[in-house]
Amino acid sequence: MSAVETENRREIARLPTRPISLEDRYDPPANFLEIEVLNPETHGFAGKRYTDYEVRMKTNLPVFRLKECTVRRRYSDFEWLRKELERDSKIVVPPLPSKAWKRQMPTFFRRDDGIFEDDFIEDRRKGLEQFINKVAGHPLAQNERSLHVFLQEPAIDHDKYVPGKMPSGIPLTARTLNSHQNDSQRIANPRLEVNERRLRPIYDYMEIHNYRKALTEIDRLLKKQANFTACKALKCLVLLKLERPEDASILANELDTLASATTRAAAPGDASNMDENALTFFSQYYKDLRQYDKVVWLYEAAAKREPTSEEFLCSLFMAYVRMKDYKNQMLTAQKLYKLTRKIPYYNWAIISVLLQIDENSNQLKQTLYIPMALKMLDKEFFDENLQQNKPYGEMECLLYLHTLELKEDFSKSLIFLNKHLELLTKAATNESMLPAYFSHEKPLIYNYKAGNLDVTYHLAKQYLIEDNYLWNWYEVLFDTFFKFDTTKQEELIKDLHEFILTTPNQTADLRNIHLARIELGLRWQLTRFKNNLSTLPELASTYLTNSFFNEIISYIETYSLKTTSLVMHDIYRAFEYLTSEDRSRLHKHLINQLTSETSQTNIQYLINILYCARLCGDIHHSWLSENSHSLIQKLLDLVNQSSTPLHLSIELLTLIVNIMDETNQSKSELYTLLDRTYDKDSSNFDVKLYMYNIALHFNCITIMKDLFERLEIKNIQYYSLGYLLTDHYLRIHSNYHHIRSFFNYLTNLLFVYTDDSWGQIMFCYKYGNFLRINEIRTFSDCYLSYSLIYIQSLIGSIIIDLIQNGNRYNSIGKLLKYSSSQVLFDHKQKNKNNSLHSLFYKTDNNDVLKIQDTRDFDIWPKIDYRRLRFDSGNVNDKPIETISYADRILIENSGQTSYQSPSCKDFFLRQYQTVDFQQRSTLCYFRANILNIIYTLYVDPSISKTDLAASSISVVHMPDEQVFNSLKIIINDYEQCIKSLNPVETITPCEIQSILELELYKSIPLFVQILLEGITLNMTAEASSTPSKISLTNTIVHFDKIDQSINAIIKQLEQSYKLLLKKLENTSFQKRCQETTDNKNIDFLNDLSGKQSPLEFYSVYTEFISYTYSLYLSIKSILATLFNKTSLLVDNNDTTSNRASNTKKSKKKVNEQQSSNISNENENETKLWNQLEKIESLYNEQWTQIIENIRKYELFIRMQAKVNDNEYDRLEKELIGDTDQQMNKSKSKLDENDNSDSSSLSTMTKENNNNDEQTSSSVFELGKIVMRPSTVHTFALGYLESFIQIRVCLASKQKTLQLRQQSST
Amino acid sequence: MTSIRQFKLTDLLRINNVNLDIFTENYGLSFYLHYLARWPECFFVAINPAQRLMGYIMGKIEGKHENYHGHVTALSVAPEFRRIGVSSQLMALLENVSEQKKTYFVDLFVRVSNKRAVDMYHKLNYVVYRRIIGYYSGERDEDAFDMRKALSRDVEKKSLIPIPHPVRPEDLVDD
Repeated sequence: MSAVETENRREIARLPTRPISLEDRYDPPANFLEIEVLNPETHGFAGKRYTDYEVRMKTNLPVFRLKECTVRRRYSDFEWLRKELERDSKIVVPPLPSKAWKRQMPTFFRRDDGIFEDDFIEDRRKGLEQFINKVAGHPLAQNERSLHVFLQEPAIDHDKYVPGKMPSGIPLTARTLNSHQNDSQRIANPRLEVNERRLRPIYDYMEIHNYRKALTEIDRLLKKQANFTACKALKCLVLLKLERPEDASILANELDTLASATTRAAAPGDASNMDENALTFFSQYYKDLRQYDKVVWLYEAAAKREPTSEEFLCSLFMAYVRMKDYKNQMLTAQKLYKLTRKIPYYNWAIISVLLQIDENSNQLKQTLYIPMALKMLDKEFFDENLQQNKPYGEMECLLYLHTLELKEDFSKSLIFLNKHLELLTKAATNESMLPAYFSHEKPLIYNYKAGNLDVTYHLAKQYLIEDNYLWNWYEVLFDTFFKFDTTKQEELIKDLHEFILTTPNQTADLRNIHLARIELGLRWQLTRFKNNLSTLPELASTYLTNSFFNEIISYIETYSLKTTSLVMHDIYRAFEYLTSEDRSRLHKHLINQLTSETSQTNIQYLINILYCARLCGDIHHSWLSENSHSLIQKLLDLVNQSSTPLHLSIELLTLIVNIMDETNQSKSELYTLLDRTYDKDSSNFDVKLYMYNIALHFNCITIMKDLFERLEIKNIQYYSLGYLLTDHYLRIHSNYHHIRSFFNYLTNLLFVYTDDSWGQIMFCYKYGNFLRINEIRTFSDCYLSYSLIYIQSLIGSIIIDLIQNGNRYNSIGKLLKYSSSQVLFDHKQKNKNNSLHSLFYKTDNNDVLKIQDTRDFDIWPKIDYRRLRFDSGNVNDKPIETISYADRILIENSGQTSYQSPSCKDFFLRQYQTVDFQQRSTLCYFRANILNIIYTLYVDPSISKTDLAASSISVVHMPDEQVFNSLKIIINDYEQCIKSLNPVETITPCEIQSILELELYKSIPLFVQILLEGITLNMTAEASSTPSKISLTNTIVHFDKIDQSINAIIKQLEQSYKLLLKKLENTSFQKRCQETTDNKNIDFLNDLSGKQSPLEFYSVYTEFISYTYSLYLSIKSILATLFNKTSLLVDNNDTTSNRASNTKKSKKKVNEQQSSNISNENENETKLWNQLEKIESLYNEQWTQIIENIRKYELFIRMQAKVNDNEYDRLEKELIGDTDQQMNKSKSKLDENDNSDSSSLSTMTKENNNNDEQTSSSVFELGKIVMRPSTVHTFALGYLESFIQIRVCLASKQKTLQLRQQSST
Repeated sequence: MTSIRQFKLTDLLRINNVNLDIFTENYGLSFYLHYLARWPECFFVAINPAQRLMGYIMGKIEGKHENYHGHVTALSVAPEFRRIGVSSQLMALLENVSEQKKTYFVDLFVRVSNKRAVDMYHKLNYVVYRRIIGYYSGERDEDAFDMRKALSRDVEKKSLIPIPHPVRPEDLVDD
């Protein structure tokens, strides 16, 4: 029996919503009555099944005969009691948990505030327990005989039962009254149950997302019961789902009034009240709107109305959790504890204190929060002054340890642990939340961190002697030893070497022993390098010279025989600290192994040896350049051998491609080989990744995207692998709507994930798993919201909109107002400095990036030889700054308390990742800065955000003082950015180079200078009291300076265009454009591949043009408004259809205005307009040339790939149609376009597939593998797509420009 | 040469070399989060000395009375680290936790066609308790074996008495 009991306790132990038996934790209060319903048991079978429950009561109330008793009752017994009480007593009897209606609620109500969720507990048992506690707690019910019979008679004998009162009605103390009175008042009447039943059909419709039907049902119900509040709250929700936010908000206002009432409007149970249900629904409405402050407000009011309601307080607590309002969280938890005396609530309060740490400075952490939490813990659980400690649970212990860890008081943690560990891990009845190995791991970490190195060393050794299967303890052992000072090391060195180098007698993991020996060598090498030591202790240097090298070789040879490629992963760190002589010695040895007997018979062995040889970097590279041909032939022979198993031949083929890649053989051949390999086995992800890599080299987004899809990347993998696309999407602009929808998907994913994280944080509170709260919060706040990939998609989507739609003043203004991208601009305003800097850099420590790298590079080892080789033989050449920077990143990313060995920081990969990450973040920062300039000029920050979204008319934003100030700051930031964008040759693309070399972005600050230097606000005027918008009356216009800037712009634009042409001249692209004859057999793929593809130049140019053109437009409109020449801005609100008529009208207007203004116009002004027009014609001229060029090249590709006219026309039509779409077009329509586009592409490909010769022959022969026509065709279409899109974007910009020019002449 | 530690959330960003394998399921964030929030003691990763993820196990403790048991929700090892005993090591951990919690048995579902896995579980002393029809849905639905291993609390090994007839997934409601 007791065992069964434990189980039930386990289920509920951390569930504060239900009364927890307190007898073992607390002195009973003056008067107490606790009833538990436990151990449901099902009896009988088939139709005669029934379940009964153990009802156990404990009380000191004199009214009850027995102070402790246990009976078993069935549901029908509860029904009987209810009926009896209803008939005889004067109390309102609460309902029984009938059909557990909450379970029938749509899941989205239950989704997040887990506190009311009953997925994990038996609804009925909980309900019955609530029922019986409410009833028994009521003083009037306590007089009823039926209650006493129910609780205290072993069985209810219906025949002998006589209704009536108990003999003595003993008065209850105020305290008992208080704790139960409220509940009994709250008890609803039967009408509530009816109401719930009426809502059920609505839930059903909502569950299946049929909101239309749900609304009909709601309206019908409201007709019957006009004041049904819960129903109205549901209506709010449904209206929101039906995308009628205005209607919903009107209704919500009405409900707000009800919710703010301090007293109940009607009798309990009246449906017009803002009851629990209504609140659940209504708060969901605000949650959907992400107005979490409103949720707080709702429950604050509710808790005020009913200050002793545990449920409302719990909900209020959770609402504070969402708002990260830790202070109120703590206060509410304390209230809950006071009210219920349930320990979990007390823990809630403590964790709320601790959670404040991250949001505040370090100082408060040590002086306020940690001491406060410790004090709270001491007070309730661990008071050392008291002789008898109050009983406590495991959660309290863990919380205490956690707090001590935060305090970094490890000696105290150790004392605490020693005192309680036994109890925690061995307690027979306690369910243990402790991870396995807790009892080993914690003492090690605490001893290590407390500086008890001696103890740690011996403890780790002891654990290893017991069982050496776990590598964990080896790491601790080494870390400890190498932390000792030299004298101590000398003392123990013999011991360590003996321990590591002697093979123990018992059965042990031999692999671990071998690796430990290699690790020992590595650690000594590392010590020498770190401390610049020339000599090591004798034992160590003997080991390094005599056996270390052989250990490595023997490891490689032994474990290459295994049927996996694990040896490469195990051994690669060893190469990092080898001297170049040793490395070449090792390489020589490995190469000899290739012809050994074992290699002849064991293919896996051969493969493993080759993988290891690759780790030798440069040495291997130069060997390959001479021997690649024979090696490849040898491997190919193996592939073609029929006895070679499939998985090995795939691995061999990958290796062959790798070798060919490294020896610079034709990439199209590589692709072809992989393409055929893919035919053999479509499940191998290494092959897909490799193909992706080559598609990237060819700059073909269409193929990259296709391969990305074939990898079946899902869910959280977008954050770790989405970089495969996002890192390059902005480099190779093409296929804009694919990219846009991918970015859109990523930004939406974040919203879903943030919601999910909150839901799970609530679960952490619910299950007492406090230690994970911070982890989830950090993950969601830092890794997801501040990940590079998220920022990339945010910026990327604005840029693509700008490229595609930023042709007119109004449209630019509109697309900058999208609420999703406000994060970028909001930041600018919230921050004191008005700088974007804070988004990218931590403010208190400027040099550390705030943006997190969530990308996973661990997927490359078999593919990218560059990422896994160690070139720089000389250790001293390694840039130490980079190491320390990477160290900081790693420390930040490692858990606060988890043990992180320094040995894991592998230099090469780390350096690669860090450099790449820094460059990409800087690029993002750079782009964000440009967007910010544009945003500042286009969007008036004085208009509130909600108005922004709603306003369809956009006026010219006349800058004021604030604008000028922010522009100055952004420009300053911008210049810093340019400085930090150092062109470093890495594996990263050439984007940065092209940007810099083209000098494209130099003209951007010039546009801002027109404003900053050309116009001075006249602050002495009487208008200066408020930051005024510029107008002719309060400004001085420096025409000469404006003129200067415009000239500089024109010069810069011309220069950068010339540079573009010069760059293009070097590519074969330009040559093809000039050729008129159709050259046969030209590989257009190679024309467009590599780091300096013309495609890239053009896409970067298009991006740049979109920025400068937007800036040009805004400057022109500001000047025009200033000089009262708004007529120049004819493009306002134009759509393609009515443009013609508008133009006529405005022309007329222009004439009128010009004639009226002619007298005011001075010479300077005329000159200004002429200058501006020069910029326009410059644009016009450049674009005409580029468009023509691209057209020629398109023709070339079409001829080469034999793309027929129909196909081409269809493609062009689709792409042009796409750009002409209004940007506000609903997403569904965009998706449709997506589909039609890709489907038409695939049908084209399919047609071609039929032409492919069958690849059934399994024999691979180098030099005879030709790319299939269908693949060539897909590549061609991909390129055409890119070119057409660039051309179309430029053409549409040109069109609006020409229209403007026409209208103003 | 495997280090074992509890699963950290940031590991989610690094499990691709395990999860890119087409037979390994990728769940939504909330699924992983829920296991971390609810049963952190049943969620482990194995890493090699170079900190490369080798595999992970994800499990839970559930059920009532004699059905109180540990359950293996996901167990996956990256291709290059297979057949060196990582799975058994991870399984031993979960059994350890389940034993510590005084459950009666540990169970898991496995594709009937996944012979290698079934063999491995047999080796670890798991027996087929029942067969579940069409438990795995996909291009072709597939049956699952419900395999179990009794723990010391189940003295009479009652949890292992197989159910001879196959069961449908909808009958699996945890009782």
